[in-house]
Formats: sequence, structure tokens, C-alpha cells
Amino acid sequence: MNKRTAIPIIRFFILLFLQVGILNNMSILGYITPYAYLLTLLLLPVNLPHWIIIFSGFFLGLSVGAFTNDAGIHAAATTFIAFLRPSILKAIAPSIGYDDDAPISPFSQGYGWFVFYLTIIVLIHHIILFGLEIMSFQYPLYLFSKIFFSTIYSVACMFAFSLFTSSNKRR
Amino acid sequence: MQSLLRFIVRFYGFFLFVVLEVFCGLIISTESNFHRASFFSSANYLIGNFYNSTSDIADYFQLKEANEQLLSENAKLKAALKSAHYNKSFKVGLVRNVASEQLYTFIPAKVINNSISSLTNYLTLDKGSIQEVKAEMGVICDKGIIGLTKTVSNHYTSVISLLHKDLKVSAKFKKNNYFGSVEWNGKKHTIVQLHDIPQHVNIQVGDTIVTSGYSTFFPADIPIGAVSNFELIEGTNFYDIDVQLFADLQSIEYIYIVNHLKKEELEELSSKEENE
Repeated sequence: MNKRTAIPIIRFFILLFLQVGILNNMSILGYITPYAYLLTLLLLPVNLPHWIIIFSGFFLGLSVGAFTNDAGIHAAATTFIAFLRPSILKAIAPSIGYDDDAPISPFSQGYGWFVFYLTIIVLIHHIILFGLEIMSFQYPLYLFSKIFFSTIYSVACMFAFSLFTSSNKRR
Repeated sequence: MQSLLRFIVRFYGFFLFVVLEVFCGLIISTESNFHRASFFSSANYLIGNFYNSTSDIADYFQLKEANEQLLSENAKLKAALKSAHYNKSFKVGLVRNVASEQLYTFIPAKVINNSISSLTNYLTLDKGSIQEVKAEMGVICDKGIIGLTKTVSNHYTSVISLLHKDLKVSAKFKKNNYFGSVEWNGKKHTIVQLHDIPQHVNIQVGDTIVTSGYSTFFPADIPIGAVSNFELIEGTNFYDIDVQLFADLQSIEYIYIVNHLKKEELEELSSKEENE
């Protein structure tokens, strides 16, 4: 196994452990939970075939969701963002473009762009995840505040994590 | 035919996406069905082992509370013993327990994972089918009810928490036996709602709500909580009642799984009635 495949797999296990062991227990006010495990999917290199991205999204959601007995809704949400990822990347491509082979990182594309990218994808993910979880518009305020605050919390956790783990050398 | 194939190859990502999403939908439907065990659950061997080891670490920080809880429960049980009572009856030869037979047994278990932050909360227990845990058994702690078992593996069990928006538990007023059902509205993890109580019932803040014993999940008179707030639902004859739970579902550690020994007989009877 070369370095290009090994790093995302190691990152997957670290983030899975971090998510189910720590972040799932770090809810604020009892309902705002950060979901940093998405970073595994978001940092994959730009030029990977679409089917690898979609399958990674699917298995990522299944594995994280199995721990909290809601594998179905997690997998549905992650598969959806995995499907959308290439189109989103194309739509918000930074002026300097992507380094196709390298993983996406805050250092190569810039902090502002990176946070913007995280926010868009996390927002879509949380809308689907919490929408499926609640499955009714009985409490619209609860749903919107949960989506809004969890997005901020998740993006903050993911940004911090990626600062520590992405390689800082510009190519 | 060829052009169809070319079409599928060109948009393979979309088709893959649709197939996987349909699969997700199937998983969601088994998960939301309380009567079916789900494959991707925290009762799974790997996940159970993971939670077991993380809870081993967390246990050291809660040893003192766990001890105190067990001590106070022991004291309560000791006080209920026959030898702790002064017998005021002066009739000689009073026969007690003529035809008493065991109806419930309790399987002790430890909570190794717990959540309160979602609308569909679950717990994971460290006992499984080896200890004769089965699906759809009630789970209680010393202070109240916790939930219902769902998926059971050899060593672990996942439990639908009382804090799951779709779980309903039959409950009644301790003082006058009016019964309804307890459900969680998803807002506060310390408060559940009691429904179906009609207007003419006299309610006071502080009234105790207990299990009704009408289902095979829980014995009768297990405490649930106390009424903290109530109001008449507009346009109906029923009350909307908030019940403050006695048990803190966030910090439970040791629980009991309720095994109803005559469950099959009861279920057989009610299925016969339905067929007639």
C-alpha cells in the first residue's frame, strides 16, 4: 500500500475513533453535536474517480452511524454529499485551481476558501441528517437551530483537526 | 440497447448514487421498526467491544457515585425484607403466599454507551443472548424506567431509550389509576409527556406517575416521574402533562432487564383474541 492510499485510511480510523469516542459525547445544550468524521471524505484528492468518492461516503456513513444505531440516515447524508462533491468543487474552484493529486488542505487552497468549502458541504449534510432524523416539521425552530449551531460546531472542529494533520508544504 | 448502456456508463455516478440511497432507505426502515433487529447496530460485536473498553476507562471516574447508588438501593431492599417489619397481626396461623409464583426475573447489566442528544436515542448494554436477554424486554433502573431492548447479539444489547421520539410506554397516576401513555417530545432530556388523560381527572403538580403493568415490558407500579406542569389541550378534552423523570437518563450506569416469565402465554392469548 503506498502513501496515497494509506493516509486517507489512517485518517478514517482516527476520525472514526474521535467521533464515536469523544465528539458524540461533547454535545452542547443536549442537542448540538459536532460531526467531524466528514473530513475523511472532504480531504480526498480532487482527481479520484467519482465512484470511489461515492462508495467512501456510503461506508463512512454506515460505520459512524452503526455506533449510534442510525446507520441509515448517516449513510444517506454522506452518500449525498459524496455525490455532490465534484460539482461543488467545480463550482467554487479557487482562482489558483486545485493540485489534482494532492489531498485538499487548508494550506494549499487558503484558509478562507477551505472554511467556505467545509461550510457548504457540512450545511448540506446536516440538513439531510437532521431532516431525516426528525422527519417532520412539527418543531421547525428546533430543526433550524440544530442545523445552524451544529454546522458552526462541526466546521470549527474539522478546521482545527485539519490544521493539525494536513501537511504544510506548498508544492 | 447500446445507447442505453452508453447512457448508464456516462452517468454511472448518478446511478450508483441512486442505488446506494435506496439501500440507505431500506436500512432506515429496519431501524425505525422496533420489532426488527437491525444489522448495523451498537449490539454488533466490534462496536460493543469498543464501547465496553471506553466505558471501562470512564468507570474509574464514577466509582464513588456507583457505590452510593448501589448502597442506597440495598438499604431500600433491606427495608422491604420481611425480617425488617414488625408483625402486628395477632391471628395465629395466618397463611401467607399460598399460591405465589415468580412472574418477573431481573437481569442486571451495565450501560456501556448512552446518548441523549438526538431525537432517536439508544443505549448499549454489556449483556446479550448468552444471559438470555431477548428483544422487546423492558429496562429499568432503581429510580425508574429506561427503555426497551431492540437488537440482541451474543454479548451486547441495544436499547431504545425512553428518550426516543417513537417509543410509547403505558403509564398511570399512582393515586387514582387513570392511565395514558408516556412519550418524549424531544425537547428536554429530563421531561417526558403523558397523553390521553381526560379532562375530569383531578391533577396536581407533584403527582407520581408509575407504569401501568398493562404491557409485558414493565411490572406495574415502577416509578417514572412526577407531574411538573399540565394544561388542557385547546379544543379537546385531554390534558397535556409534563412529567419530570425520577431517573437521570444522562448518568445511568447499572440497570435491570425485565424478564416476564409468562410473556408467551399472554401474547398467545391476545393473538387469539385478535383472530376471533
